[in-house]
Amino acid sequence: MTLIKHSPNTTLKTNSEQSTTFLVKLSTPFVSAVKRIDKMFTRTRSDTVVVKGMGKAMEKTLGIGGTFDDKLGYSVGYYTGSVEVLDEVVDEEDEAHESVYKKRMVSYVELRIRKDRK
Amino acid sequence: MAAPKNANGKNPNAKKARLYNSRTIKTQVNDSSFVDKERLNIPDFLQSRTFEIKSFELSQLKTKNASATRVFQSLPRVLRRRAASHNVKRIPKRLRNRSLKEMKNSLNGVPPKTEHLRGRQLYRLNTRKKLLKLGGRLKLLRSLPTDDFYNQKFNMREKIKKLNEEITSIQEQGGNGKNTENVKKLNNACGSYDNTGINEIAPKPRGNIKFHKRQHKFTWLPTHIWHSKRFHMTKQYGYQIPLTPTQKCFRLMNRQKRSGTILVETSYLNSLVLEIKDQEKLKEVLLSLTKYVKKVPQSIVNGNKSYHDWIEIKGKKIGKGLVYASLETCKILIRVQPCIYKSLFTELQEIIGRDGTIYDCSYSLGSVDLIGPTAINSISKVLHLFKDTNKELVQSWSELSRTNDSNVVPIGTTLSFDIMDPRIWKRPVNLPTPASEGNSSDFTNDLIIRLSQWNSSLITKSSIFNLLEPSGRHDTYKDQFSTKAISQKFSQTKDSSNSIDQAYHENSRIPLLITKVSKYNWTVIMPWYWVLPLWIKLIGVRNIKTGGLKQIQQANFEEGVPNFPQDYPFLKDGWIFNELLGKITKEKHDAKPLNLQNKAAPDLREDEMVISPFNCDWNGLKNIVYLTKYSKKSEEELKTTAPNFATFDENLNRIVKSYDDIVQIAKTFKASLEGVSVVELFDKNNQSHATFNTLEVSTLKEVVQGRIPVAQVSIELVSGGKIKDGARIYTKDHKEEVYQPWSFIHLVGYVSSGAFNLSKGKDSGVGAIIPSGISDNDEVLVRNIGTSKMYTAKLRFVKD
Repeated sequence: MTLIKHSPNTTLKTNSEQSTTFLVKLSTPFVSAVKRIDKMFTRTRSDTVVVKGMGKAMEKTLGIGGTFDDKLGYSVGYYTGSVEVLDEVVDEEDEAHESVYKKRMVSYVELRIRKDRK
Repeated sequence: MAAPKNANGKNPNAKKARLYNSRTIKTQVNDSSFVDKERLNIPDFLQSRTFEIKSFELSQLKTKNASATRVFQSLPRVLRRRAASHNVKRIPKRLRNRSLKEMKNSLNGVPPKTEHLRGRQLYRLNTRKKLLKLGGRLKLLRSLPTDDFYNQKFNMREKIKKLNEEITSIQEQGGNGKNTENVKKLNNACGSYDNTGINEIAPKPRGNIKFHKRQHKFTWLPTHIWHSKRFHMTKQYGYQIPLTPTQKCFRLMNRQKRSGTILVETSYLNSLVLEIKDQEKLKEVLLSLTKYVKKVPQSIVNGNKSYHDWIEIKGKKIGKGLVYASLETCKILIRVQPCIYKSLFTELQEIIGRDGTIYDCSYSLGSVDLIGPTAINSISKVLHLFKDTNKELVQSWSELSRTNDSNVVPIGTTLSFDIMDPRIWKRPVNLPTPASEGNSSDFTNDLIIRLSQWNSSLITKSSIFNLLEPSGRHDTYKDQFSTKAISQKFSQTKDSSNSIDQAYHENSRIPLLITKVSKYNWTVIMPWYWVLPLWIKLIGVRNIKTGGLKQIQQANFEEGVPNFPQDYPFLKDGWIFNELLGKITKEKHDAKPLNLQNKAAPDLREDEMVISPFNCDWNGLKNIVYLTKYSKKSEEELKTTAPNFATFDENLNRIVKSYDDIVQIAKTFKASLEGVSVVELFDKNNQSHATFNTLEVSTLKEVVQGRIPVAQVSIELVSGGKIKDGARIYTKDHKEEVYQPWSFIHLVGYVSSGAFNLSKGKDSGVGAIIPSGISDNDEVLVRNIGTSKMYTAKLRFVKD
């Protein structure tokens, strides 16, 4: 039995969504994430940037939020939620290698960082 | 107090005051737009200055255009052409008049018209014109020239005579004339016909009269003319195949693969249809063709799922291909690379004998591949299903087309339905979203779970039947619209309308088979002459970019998936590819002046050359592995024993004591082994492969005749470094970070494709190794040809 974890469908559809949303992975380096989010404000007209991180990456996301909140003086809103992901279980002993898919809920945090400083 | 005056009686500061006054700008408080001389009435104010504002804007536009002095300079990069400055035909039609005007104003003026041909050349041109006219007329009469016309060596006058005869014979008594036996009657005026070989290989398609001479050896794909204007073409396997776009597209294709769609025409893949009425026999053949040993999964037998993996003949893997079984119609569709097709065809003929029929559909089934997460979303914009399509199928199709990431959809998912002629719609249209649209991820996950159970019916039986049956395909061409007819229909409709009259919607029913063949790749199979109409419409979809063989290779490489043929050294074509590559690279290297030949490189020192530095030298690797076993010494011993004089046993065979002895013996084997494949695909069920690690070699003859089992791997560098084609893979036992004279002892395999991977942000590669003693995620060392630095890389076995 092998478990393949699929990521949720996070495709950003619109251009404005792409330029104002930042998705944090566990492998995202902290400082470069902060720099990239900061740069987003200079490139978009919108005054809010959304930063999302799910599962293990939540801690890092909150850390980023804290940096913007405390050190850089932005006003940050914190929101929580959950997202549905798919798990694929492959039975390798079976010759057909048929997979079974199962749904699972994963928590996420969302930061809404506003341009106007405190 | 009066102002002071100078001797002239004038105020001395008057001049200064005037200067100061000139610097202060007077405000026009008496403008009519000021209400109470305080508030500005903006509409009034603007109206009084309309003229100034407009002329200001116009002047800005003029300066913008004036900087692009010639019209072709303002074109986007994809529309720029060489020689567009003096050849108006290189400029889009809508801009040609302007370009001509500009050329008149230029220094050289309009180039003089070339004089028309005279004498023999003019006569040749006129006769050719006559021939083409006759060909066109024959097409209008819904017929094609007979085989004689193509096969025999006629001159131009004889050809015209022949065509004239055929036309008169068709016209006489409505086609009952004297020579009508050979005349092919078509059901359309476009020249589309079903070219299927029944129990034999089909003849090559004849092509249009204008171009048939160029297709004798290498068949044109349905979209050849479109591609040849925009792509570098390659002649392979008896086809002219698009290789790569002429425009730079490496990064673009990476972006498309990650978030868009790459469209590739793959009609060069050959397909055959097996028809066996006895269902038990059909299942038996299916089992023998696929990798399964005991039983083929029910989903594949039922036709709910397609199989894209190894195809086996008499237990031997001959290559990867697509198999789709349809029990209801008693048919199996097989689609493979063209180089293994003929042998597969003859083998199948032997296996089936008189129990069934084999239809060669190489020239009657065409296909396009869609690579990328939005593949179905993109294609759904040009496919228009009939209203009588099964509701469940329509629902799943609509949901699939709304997912922006079709990578999670289970591999093997297959849909089949009829579509209307895609040219009936001018522009791509989004499928309407149902009113009860929920959260997007919700329906996607449910859809995938539903699809993975393989019990939903996404196959329309009639479409599959029409697609796999020669008469069915023939019927789809009935009254096929020509491009001209379609544009005439459009000219009769309103400009704003996106589609022609509803009455024509049911003119053609095109059966399609859409199936997911790998994580990121969908294949769409359809009748040969419907590929071009669909292609023309697909390229209008914004999310789609077109690619060729190189783009398929790039997509595979970025996913760490082996690409045919270079990454399959154990198949005949992979072996030939590697050998040819070695020859070409060696010739190139030898042609270089001596000072540019890298003689100092560790691989290229003549005295140490155990393995060829010009390709993946599997012979060399085999010699090393077998000689190490023959020596009966540990790797450590061989490494540390210093090279010494040669010693021989009683049979005058050299005794292997050190690594240098291996080099000397291997060198004598080199020449005798060229042209023989020495690698085979590792199979864990094969006893000799499983025990290869402990294999005992006692004679030098065994060394010469031995074969090595290899498994395909994908590798990725752990930290910085470079991987290039042909890089060598060593085990971690090597320990040293630079090349040593004994390094080859730890050699286990080669990287057949290695480069920078844009998706991973570092170098990666695909290759093959002797798998014994190495497991998934192990670290190995990689060294490029001609260098001494070793990089650490992580290795993963490619799963079947």
